[in-house]
Amino acid sequence: MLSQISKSRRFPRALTLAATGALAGLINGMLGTGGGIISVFALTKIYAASAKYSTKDIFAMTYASSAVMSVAAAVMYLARGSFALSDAAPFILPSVVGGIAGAILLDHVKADVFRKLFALLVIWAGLSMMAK
Amino acid sequence: MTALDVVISALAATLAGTGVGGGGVLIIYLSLARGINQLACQGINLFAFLSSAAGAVPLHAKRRKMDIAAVIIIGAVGALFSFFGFRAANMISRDLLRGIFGAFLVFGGMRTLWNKN
Repeated sequence: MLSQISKSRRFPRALTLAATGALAGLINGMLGTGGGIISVFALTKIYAASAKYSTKDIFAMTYASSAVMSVAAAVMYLARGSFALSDAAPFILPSVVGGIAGAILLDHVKADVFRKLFALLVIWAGLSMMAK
Repeated sequence: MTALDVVISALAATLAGTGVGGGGVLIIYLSLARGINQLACQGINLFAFLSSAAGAVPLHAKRRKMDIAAVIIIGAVGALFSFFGFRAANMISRDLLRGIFGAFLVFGGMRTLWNKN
């Protein structure tokens, strides 16, 4: 934890975390997603030398920090009229159920292989969106 | 609201929750299959993500070790900089925004494929 880090190292680490938040927030606000990629990458580097946090712990931290910044982004999108609450409302319940299922499955799923397959799908979707 | 909407949003939230990554799935679906404009897709996705987080974060907090200070610093600074990202999204055309999103997906996908971890 930050409190366990010596004072001399605390500031650079806090600065790295702040820079991570800045870049993640910028992407999240601009694209409506994607900030987590930055946070996972940075937190993995930050805790690389520590056995205290597992990959799953880092993912959970990323999820929680993304939720905090997404509140601000969602409010901005809503206030600006980019979408209506009535458009988003139908997605609430399935997303809550999916979120709970994902948090439980995190303990049981070996995600590595599935992640690679999913990456291929994402690349195809990205190319489709660029070509549209 | 269609049955496919329910399936895709639940799937996206589950994928995101398992660490496979699914943040962009709902945007891809809404944009390519439903033809909704990019900015609206992104707003709806943020709202859906918050819904999934409402279910997942309390569970993660209970089951995982978290550096709460790190979560707060990244989240708070990220919230601040979301404003600049949102401003940028509003300054460019929807088509360009979709293109940037597509490029981001390709980049993220390639990185995942090449990442040994």
